[in-house]
Amino acid sequence: MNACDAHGRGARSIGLFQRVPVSGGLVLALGVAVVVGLPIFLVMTSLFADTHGIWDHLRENLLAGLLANTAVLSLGVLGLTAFFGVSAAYLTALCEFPGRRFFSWALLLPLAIPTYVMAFVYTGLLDFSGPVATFLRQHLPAAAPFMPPIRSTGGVILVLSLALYPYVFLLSAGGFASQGERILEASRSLGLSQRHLFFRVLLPMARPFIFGGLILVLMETLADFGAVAVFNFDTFTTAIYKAWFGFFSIDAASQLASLLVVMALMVLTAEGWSRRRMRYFKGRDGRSAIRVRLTGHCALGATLFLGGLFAVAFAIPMIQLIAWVVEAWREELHMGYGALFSHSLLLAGGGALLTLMVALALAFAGRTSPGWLMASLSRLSLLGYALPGTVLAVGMVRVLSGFDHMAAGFLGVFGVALSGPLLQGTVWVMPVAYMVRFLSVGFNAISSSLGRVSPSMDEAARTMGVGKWALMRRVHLPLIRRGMITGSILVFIDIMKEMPLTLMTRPFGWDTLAVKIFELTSEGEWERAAIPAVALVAAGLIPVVLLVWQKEKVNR
Amino acid sequence: MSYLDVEAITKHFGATCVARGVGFSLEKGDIGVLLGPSGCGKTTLLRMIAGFESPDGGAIHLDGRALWREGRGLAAEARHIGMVFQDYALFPHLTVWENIAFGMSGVSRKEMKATITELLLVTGLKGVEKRYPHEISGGQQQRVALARAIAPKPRCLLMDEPFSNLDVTLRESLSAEVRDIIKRFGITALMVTHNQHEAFAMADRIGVMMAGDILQWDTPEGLYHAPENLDVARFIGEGSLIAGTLTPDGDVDCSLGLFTGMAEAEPGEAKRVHVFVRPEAVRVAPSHAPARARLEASCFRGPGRSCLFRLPGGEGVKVASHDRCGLTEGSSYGLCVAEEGLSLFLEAGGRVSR
Ligand SMILES: Nc1ncnc2c1ncn2[C@@H]1O[C@H](COP(=O)(O)OP(=O)(O)O)[C@@H](O)[C@H]1O
Ligand SMILES: [Mg+2]
Repeated sequence: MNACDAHGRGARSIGLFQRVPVSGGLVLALGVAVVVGLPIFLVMTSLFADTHGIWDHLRENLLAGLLANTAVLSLGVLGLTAFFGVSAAYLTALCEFPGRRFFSWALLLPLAIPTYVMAFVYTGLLDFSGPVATFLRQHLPAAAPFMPPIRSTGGVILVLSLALYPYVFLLSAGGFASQGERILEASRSLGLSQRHLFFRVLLPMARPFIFGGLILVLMETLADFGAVAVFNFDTFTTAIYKAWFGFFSIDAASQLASLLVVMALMVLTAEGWSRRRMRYFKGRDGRSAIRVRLTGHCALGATLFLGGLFAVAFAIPMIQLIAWVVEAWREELHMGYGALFSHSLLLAGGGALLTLMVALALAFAGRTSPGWLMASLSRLSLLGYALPGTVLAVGMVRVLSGFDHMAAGFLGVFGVALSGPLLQGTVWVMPVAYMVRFLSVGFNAISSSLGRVSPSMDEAARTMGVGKWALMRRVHLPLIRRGMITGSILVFIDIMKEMPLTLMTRPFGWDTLAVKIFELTSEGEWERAAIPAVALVAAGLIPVVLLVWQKEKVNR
Repeated sequence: MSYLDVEAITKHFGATCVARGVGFSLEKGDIGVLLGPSGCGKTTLLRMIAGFESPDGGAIHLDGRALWREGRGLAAEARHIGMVFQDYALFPHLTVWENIAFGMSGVSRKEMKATITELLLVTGLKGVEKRYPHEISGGQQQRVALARAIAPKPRCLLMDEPFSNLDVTLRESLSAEVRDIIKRFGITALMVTHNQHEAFAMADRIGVMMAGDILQWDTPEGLYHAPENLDVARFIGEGSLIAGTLTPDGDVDCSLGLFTGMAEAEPGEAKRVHVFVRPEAVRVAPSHAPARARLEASCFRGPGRSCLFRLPGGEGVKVASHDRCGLTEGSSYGLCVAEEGLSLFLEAGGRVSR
């Protein structure tokens, strides 16, 4: 028999008998990729659109400033988060001193505070009219002029760093902890002192992890809208918002957004690279390193330093928020918070549900029809997390207005006239926008738990006569239930906190907690903004607590 | 037609050929083993029988029904073939009992309970049925996987390296146990392994597989004592290869001596042949034996000694010696060979029949 002739024929004709999951999954993944890719594509093409001079105006007057601001902000935040994050990680992972166990989880808590909350708390606290400055003027008039202004470049950098350093802390602590005892013993036996050990072994080995954390920080910094808006510090995100709502020029907004997309894609490339490196460096040799016991001044210094960081990044903001709530809640409570809460919950619930379903479908499609095409489609589908909300908002609006245009034209042929836009500005597009932005959060949770279901389990079930749907019901869903729950909680809370996307796509009247915070803080009403802020922080604590639990379980 | 019939299966992955016309057949109730080095295509062949891969050509029949013929096949879930996976593939969210019950559909509760209870008893899993897979040992997991595959009463059982995740001591005892269980339920089974001890412990029939082809399909004894070609002889057990000449009369002359009547007389030139000797066919004999050799190394093996002798021509001979009295390395001894323990192969590798 000529084996080469037969090759290929068999593979095709198997379809006559067997249900081969060829196209269903791919078609689905293609659909998701189009929904995610289209807004990005339209934003990118707008680079060459004609904006009737607004773009020229922006370029001449703004662009240089925006670029400089973005660069200074990014560099400053990267430097400060690296300092906070790496030193905290080194101390808690490899040293022993009073309070170490507490700090190893407590320093993650600031993850629950959205950057814009951190921003308005500190502006409220340290502003000229705030309690600190007032106190100084009354009791220490000599010192008052020396208090640095919070509304400055340094202020934004500090506030963003306080909110974002936990990313660096979390990843580099993992990096330090994964360096096993053996390698440290080997280094000591080669004659390295503790200081040399840090700079020649520990730091280089943890570098991919530190880098991974810094990449996340950079992504968040580029995407940040709420915090810089509080400080009136102009970056691309605020410029996009102003171009649209100030100049009413979606084209100019898109052109700014396209520049931001380019930056985000560059960061994304770096992220992929760093992830590969992290895998390469993940070498545990059983026991984790024995911690160096700090004594005397060193131990005191470590405790004070981390205690100060914890106070500034979490305790003080929380106390201030609660103080404001206590001050304001009596007058505020009748002001229609019910609607705010229900809108927030409704949007977050709807968005999380949609995201969960799409993530499930995508994960199963990837499982049933693997291959390079599937891999690249799902990578495209997960791109949204690197995109700032402002960019995505602009992209969605472009897609929707294009669609409405086409729909009106199409219906016009049949003599049907539309009274208004079909999709643009309706509440139905918001869950889709959230899905695009947060799909990767849900997908990662699901696919990591689905990855633990080995392919041979599927095959085992099939040899026992169990079909595709029964397999999903009896094996897959029970095994990924926890991933599904975690994923939807994470997405739900991310949506609650999302400010620019909600702000720019919501229909009139659909205010959420985050939108309310934006409105109140732009009027300087810190006390009133504290009530929705506390609600958001409380919700944000849920995933952080989950994370801490997980970390503790691994440590034990 | 036999119970399980595999005919001329071919299969390519891209440019690599993993099955070149493989065929064998297995009688009902027998245990077959595919034995071969890693990468020779055993797993792929097994997966084609199970229905997870489609052959490029050939046919597979089970119990008179076509599983695969003329480029078409039955879906895996319709084949009624049980499979024990290398990683067991137990469902982590189900207890031992639920795992075993997973594939049993269309039977009454009472019958299901009776079957599972019997399986638990036979596999020695009684008492752990309420535990989850991660709460039992590797050997127990292996037996759960076996019980789960047997429970739906499959027409045939496939096992892919079922013992490779266990430690060596467990492997030996478990393979005998698994054979007992399979025989007790009268199941026709096909196992794949690269370990010949496992193969000998389990098999009624063994197929030696290399580079996508079955070289010999035979009983374990046949495989050991009458290997059909040089590759099989070298792969199974131990032995030494010695150059010799086959005369037209059918006698063989080599440095171990002259052996008469080893092949049918065949007029023509004398031919060069390989003489293959199993270690246990050679005896250390008194010094008047036909061949003499120097003891180069010897190593205690419990039941006896494994010795390496060097013939004057430079060829090495492995000998399994059962003498309690010591042999001194470096001294010369006589070697005496039992004729039945010899196999002859032509230069090309084919066996010379007697
Ligand atoms: N799905 C696949 N795609 C491509 N090559 C494969 C695939 N499965 C197996 N192979 C190749 O086929 C050959 C035989 O593999 P396998 O049947 O697993 O061998 P064995 O089980 O005997 O070790 C190997 O070279 C392997 O790399
Ligand atoms: Mg294999």
